[in-house]
Amino acid sequence: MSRQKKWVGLTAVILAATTVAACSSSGSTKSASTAAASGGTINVLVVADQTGPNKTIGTQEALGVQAGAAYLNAQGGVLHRKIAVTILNDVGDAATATSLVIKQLAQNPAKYSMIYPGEEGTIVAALIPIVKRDSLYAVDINDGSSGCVAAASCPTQFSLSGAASLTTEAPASFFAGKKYTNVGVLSAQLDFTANEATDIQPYLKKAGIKYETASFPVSAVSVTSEMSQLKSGGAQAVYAAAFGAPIGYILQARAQLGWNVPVVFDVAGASFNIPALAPASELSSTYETAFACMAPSSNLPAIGLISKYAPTTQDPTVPCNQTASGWDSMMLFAAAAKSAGSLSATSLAKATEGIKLTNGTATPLADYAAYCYTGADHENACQTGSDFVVVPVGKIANSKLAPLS
Amino acid sequence: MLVTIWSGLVLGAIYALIATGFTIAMLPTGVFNFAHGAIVVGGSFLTYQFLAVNKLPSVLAVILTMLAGTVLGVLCELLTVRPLRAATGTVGTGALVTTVGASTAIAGWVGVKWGYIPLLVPFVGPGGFVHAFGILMRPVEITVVALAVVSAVACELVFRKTRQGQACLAVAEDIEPAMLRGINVSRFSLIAFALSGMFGALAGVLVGPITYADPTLAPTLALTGFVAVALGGEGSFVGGLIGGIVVGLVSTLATRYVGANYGNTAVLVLLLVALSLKPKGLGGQQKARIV
Repeated sequence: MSRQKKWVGLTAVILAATTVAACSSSGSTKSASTAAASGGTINVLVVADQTGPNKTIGTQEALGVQAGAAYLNAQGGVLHRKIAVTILNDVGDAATATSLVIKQLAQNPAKYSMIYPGEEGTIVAALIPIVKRDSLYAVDINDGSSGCVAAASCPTQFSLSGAASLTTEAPASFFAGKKYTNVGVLSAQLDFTANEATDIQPYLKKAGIKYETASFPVSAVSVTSEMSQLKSGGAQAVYAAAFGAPIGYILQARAQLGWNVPVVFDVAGASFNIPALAPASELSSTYETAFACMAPSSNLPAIGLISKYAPTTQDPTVPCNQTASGWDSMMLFAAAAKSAGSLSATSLAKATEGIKLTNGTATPLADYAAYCYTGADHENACQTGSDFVVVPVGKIANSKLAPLS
Repeated sequence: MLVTIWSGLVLGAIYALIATGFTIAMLPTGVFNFAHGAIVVGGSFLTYQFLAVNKLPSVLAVILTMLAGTVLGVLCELLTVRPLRAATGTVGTGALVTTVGASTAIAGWVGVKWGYIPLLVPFVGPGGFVHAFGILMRPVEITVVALAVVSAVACELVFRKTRQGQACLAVAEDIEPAMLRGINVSRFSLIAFALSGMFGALAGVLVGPITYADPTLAPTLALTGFVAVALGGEGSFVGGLIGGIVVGLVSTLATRYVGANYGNTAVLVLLLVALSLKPKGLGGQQKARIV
């Protein structure tokens, strides 16, 4: 084979491999699961990564569901019936999740009264068609790229999270409170983070703050150029929508540029233990947008209950909002069942659309302070900007942020 | 502007290190070892383990990491290349599939062992910043740039000036006549993969403090290393160095001055233009040689 042909061949094989890797397939079966089980135990199906790349969040979400079920069982159950939880390990892969759920539902038609479909947005999004096809009552952590904004797309599925834009209200208020007039907005080129970079702009505009944006590809191993661009634009602070290693790259770049402006990370960034990603010398004037339960001053009763009822010890290095989402999904399910007086998916969905669930003794909540939905929108309409707080970056200890010593 | 150029240079040096590792294995075997990016990542994780967890002395940590890289390189050769050669007499493009498989296996192993959250890798040298040319440079960045240049030039000299190096070049150009001349291709292949693995692990020691130890980085490093080699010319260490630095600079400058979305596009356009003008890459040359 000539060298030119070899290069062409290599490139073609790489392209083919990339294409194959980018495609995923799911099987299709004719499941008869159209109605919830009647009588006996209430079965709840959890799809969450237990061993793969998302296991740090998947295991905690499943633990939250289990804690919620144990708590409800201790209160007498739902509609006087005990709850049993089955966990499917999706290994952090949407295709695996889809395949497992199809198989599970085919083998156990009409068994499950509720499903917690996936530990994060892309997996939830992959399962939406199956949940809809089989008319399962589902409560998810979030619906990917707003897949359940239109209720018609998810007639029996509800998202704990609301409009993503609300997560940016707290940082915008933080900048306004500091009287900044020019803020740099830096984001990774991912759906979620890129949306946040867009979502914060109306809040900044409303506060009279000028802004400049920059973004970087997910494969970047340095963001010095992007930070340099924001510095040249005269930014007095940076809002950074990023997670993983880029959190460290941003702090490295700030130090390298000798640019001591505050950096506020978004909620995605706050899900990481930021102090583990940068030396202490690079952490001054660094903030994160945390779920309210993560704030050092937070003392939600539900968090204590999760610890009490969880079958195993929670991972103290994972933020509390992960177990909280599993827990709150069970509280929502219980409230819907109580309101509907039935476990059929359509009855539960109709009841959920009419519910306004607020944090209290009867329904202790941990993820958001309230949940409500309409017949047109199945994202949480009661989520508010105050469900998030901007706090100085801290170590995650006991699933909360502990101030740096 | 200087900050951006330095940033691009550091990025390019990382790619050049990957390209050098690729070329060490490729010259005597003709195999593009796509597991090399994963070996570099494995080196970063081992450095984290030895320095941050086991608190070993720096020199010992580097030696152990390089030994582990050597073992990984040998395993790659034994498991992904040798069986193909034994079965068909040649390696061909089958090695592309097997080495991608090895890359997945190594990345999966580090993910299982250390998890998928990026880890901050300590640098074996000094911390802080060095002021030079009006910008701040980190000692680890200076070391990466220096190693990229020194290793590429040294490898070029070794492969061009020594008898063993020329034998490798002969194998790279045409394996059958080289074998007829008595070159033990299997032995050269094993040694080359061992050296490539050792070099990859050393690169991991230095790249980790910049990029973090992150299992998801392996394919990115492999692909950018591939682009650097393609641009620089297959079989040329200095070409790989130039290719890596050009890729780093073009990507960084395009990101800074054209737009964040244009970094990768600019690199691919550059690659297409360069290969259409010089199909063998910037440093690729084919010469008749007697061994």
